[in-house]
Amino acid sequence: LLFQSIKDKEVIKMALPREAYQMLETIVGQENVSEEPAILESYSFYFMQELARRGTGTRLSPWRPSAVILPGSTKEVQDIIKVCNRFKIKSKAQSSGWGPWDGYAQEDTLIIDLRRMNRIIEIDSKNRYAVVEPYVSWAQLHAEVMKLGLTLSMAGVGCHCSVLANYTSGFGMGPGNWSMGVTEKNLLGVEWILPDGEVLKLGSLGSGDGWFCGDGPGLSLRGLLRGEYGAMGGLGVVTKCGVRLYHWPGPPVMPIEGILPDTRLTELPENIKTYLFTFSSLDKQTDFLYQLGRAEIGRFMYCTGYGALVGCVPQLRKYIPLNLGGSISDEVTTWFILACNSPREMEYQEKVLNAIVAETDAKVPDFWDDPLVKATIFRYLIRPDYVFNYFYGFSGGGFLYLSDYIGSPDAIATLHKRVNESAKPWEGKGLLPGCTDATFQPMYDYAHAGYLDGSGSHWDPADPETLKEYGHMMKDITSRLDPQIERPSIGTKYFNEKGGPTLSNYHIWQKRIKRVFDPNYVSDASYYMDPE
Amino acid sequence: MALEDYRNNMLRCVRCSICKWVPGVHIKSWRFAQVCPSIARYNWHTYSAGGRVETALALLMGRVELDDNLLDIIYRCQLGGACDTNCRINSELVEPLDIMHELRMKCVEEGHLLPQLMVVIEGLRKEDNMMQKPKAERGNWADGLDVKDLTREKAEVVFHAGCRLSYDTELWPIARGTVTLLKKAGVDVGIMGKDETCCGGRAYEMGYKGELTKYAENNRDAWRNAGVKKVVVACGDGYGTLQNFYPQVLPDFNFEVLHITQYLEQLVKEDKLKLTKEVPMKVTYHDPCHLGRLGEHYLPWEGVEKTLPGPRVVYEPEKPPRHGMTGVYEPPRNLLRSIPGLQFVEMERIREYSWCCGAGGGVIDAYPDFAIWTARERIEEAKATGAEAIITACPWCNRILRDAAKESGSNLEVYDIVELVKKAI
Repeated sequence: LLFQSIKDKEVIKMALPREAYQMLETIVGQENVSEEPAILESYSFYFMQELARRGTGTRLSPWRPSAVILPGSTKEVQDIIKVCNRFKIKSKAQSSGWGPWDGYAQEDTLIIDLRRMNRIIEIDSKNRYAVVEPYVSWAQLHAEVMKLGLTLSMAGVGCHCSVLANYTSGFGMGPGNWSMGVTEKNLLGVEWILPDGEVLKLGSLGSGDGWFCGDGPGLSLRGLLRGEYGAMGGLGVVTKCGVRLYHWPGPPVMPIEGILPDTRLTELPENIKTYLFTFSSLDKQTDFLYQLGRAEIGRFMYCTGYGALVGCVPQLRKYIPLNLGGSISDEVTTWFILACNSPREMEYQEKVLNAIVAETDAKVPDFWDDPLVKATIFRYLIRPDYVFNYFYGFSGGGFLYLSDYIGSPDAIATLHKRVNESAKPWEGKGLLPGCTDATFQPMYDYAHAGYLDGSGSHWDPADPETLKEYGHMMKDITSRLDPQIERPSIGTKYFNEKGGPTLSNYHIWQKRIKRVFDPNYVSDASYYMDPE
Repeated sequence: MALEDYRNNMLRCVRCSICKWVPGVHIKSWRFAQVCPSIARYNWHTYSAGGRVETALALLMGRVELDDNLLDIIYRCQLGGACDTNCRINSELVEPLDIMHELRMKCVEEGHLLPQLMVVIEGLRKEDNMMQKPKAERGNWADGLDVKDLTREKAEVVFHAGCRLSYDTELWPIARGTVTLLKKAGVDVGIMGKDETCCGGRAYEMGYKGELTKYAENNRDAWRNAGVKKVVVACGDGYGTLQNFYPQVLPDFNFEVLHITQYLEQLVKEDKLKLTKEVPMKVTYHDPCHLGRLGEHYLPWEGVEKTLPGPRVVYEPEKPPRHGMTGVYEPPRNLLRSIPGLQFVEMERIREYSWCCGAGGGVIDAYPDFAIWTARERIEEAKATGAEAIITACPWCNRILRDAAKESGSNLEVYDIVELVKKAI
């Protein structure tokens, strides 16, 4: 996992050909392209980059990009990509820039920072869709659509991240997936600059019929554009996309007051209610989820291990200590919101919920009376931003999954237990905060399926020794898992090569797609797939 | 502490970009969602707090040199601290504002000086003020006021006017109004007049820590000699300096420090001032950074970093929280609400996640265009509320907001809260 072969000062750098740089200046203006070392260094730093196989052991990569460019329009992006093709320059686009997948594999890479493309192009409340550019954050879009009585499906990554990046190019699930489905299924029309510079419009946009549908009339290439995990910038640049909006029967602004992290709910209308349940075992929670899904009630839902809950909600730590590498617990939690359109609907959904709670032994913990806890869970469900609290709770480390799986609630519970079993030898050794305990487990489409982050995992980025130990542990645990279904996280070139043979050889298809769509291999594919 | 002492903090940054935005839960619109003027204006990630932390790490690792370009990046920032307050919502592990202060101190220590600020610092050293004006003219704002001269007399309360109020003639009514109101309420107040000196806070933010210590000691001694118990300022910067910076360099700084809005609120409550006249205006209020989130009283921390299993890094004892919780937010609002006929409306970015006015961190001196750009953003936000005036409680904010309103051709008026209280009496 970790090779600290690159010494601090040996930063690898390579300048762009002068002619290419001048062309880039002409496209965006001198002020929007830079090869200043101080500018480039901050584009060398990415979350979890300390895990890179050729790295410095820190979040600074061993190389600098050759330049960074800030396009302001689709046309500018297209022209930039054409320059890249002409001079065979690798490029990597980023929006909010969070995550190792924003990194790049070599020094002669042009970073396309899409920050200036930050407009909400359209909100069509009647037809319930919005069109955004890459640098619109979830919180921005959510704030605007809330005023219109609408909401949208968001990933758990955090509301400061890009809507477009997750819908079109990355992966992640969140609490709204329960009733609204995962984000990639809510992707509508797309404007996509292919790696060769051609503009391709997907869905209804492709036939000139606007943004309302991802599947036509017009090309429906969502599977090719992003598949399950997204091409992570490895297949050109998406410059606009349409996303589906849903009815929101709640207040037009977030009903939260106070100074973070200790906020309180202002008066919540009668038609919105927040719950938190705990379960003594995965099986009990699974029963609960099936019944809840069958009843199709609730708008927002999220499941975590007990440790993950405490990791995300700092106000809870006075009640329950963080599990610091102690025992592996089976105890799990479900966060839940009912948001109804009428008193009668609320009465019905509450009645159903109460019956399911009674039948499945769901417990309401004592700490749920704490208004600070309730407000925190509410905002995490409606406009998520919990993961950074969790990471910082453990030194600012990161996450690598012991398992990364999408399946039915039963399949997830079974896998959960098997991961726990494989991890048992590491219990109490101070590294693993408990597999079940540290999981994030969002459910989507009313429990038709769910997703298992098999373990949030931890190291201290300031202490390379903890990273090495963590690597040994991961290697040991994964060696005991069934590669067919129990696999480390997919989404890097390395893991795609490893995971492909277990899943219909999808990696071979990725290679073919990459070859056809990127003939000059100019889109950095470090988190996608090499053509050969 | 030195920059090197923050190496672990830099290594632990998760590059979440929360430093760039209003906290997610408090974002109310697309338009006013950003909280950091520097990244909002310059767009490069490097110009955010996270970007500067990461560049500081590169500097420590010897990957970049401290040259003019890096100097420019370091100083194109008002140090308004919204980034830091946001970062601390999740953790005390990064401390971006401290790192940005240390970067500037390193620049000064190593002789990498910004020419625009060298002029200001030379003026400070010669004339004891940040305005490059003669020391002898410092007390002119109080001409004709019947107020105690604390170089000769004693009083319980000193009104420290500060550099901006002392020399910016357009703002003199604020300083004079402050004294008038305090006297009307029967407060035993005095001033240091031409012998008043700079508080040193702005120099500190430019990286000149020695100047802070010098002026802190000087002011402490002068106020002690005058028998002062209570220091009153009408300046957000001054308040933040006295509450936050002075206790860092002067452990025996034990005066009660009040911003004029706190004092006036108290005097109104005690019925010593009666707000009876109608002021029929619709106004909004701008929270100065150093009065709000950076106005928290400094609490010293001495402890160690410890790694628990997990590994979880903790500080023992726990560091005092710095979430902007004890900033001065309510007193100015309460005063506005108590003025008859006045309609008070809030902007979107307020309190601990307020947008900076643009004048802080030496930006008004070094990069006036950036200061104006930042203030114009605030003017736009104020106008979006439908207010006819923006009220503030700091002369630095007041000056840059006035200039920005004028430059943008806006008819939005800019007042200090003292001026409105005076109108209401």
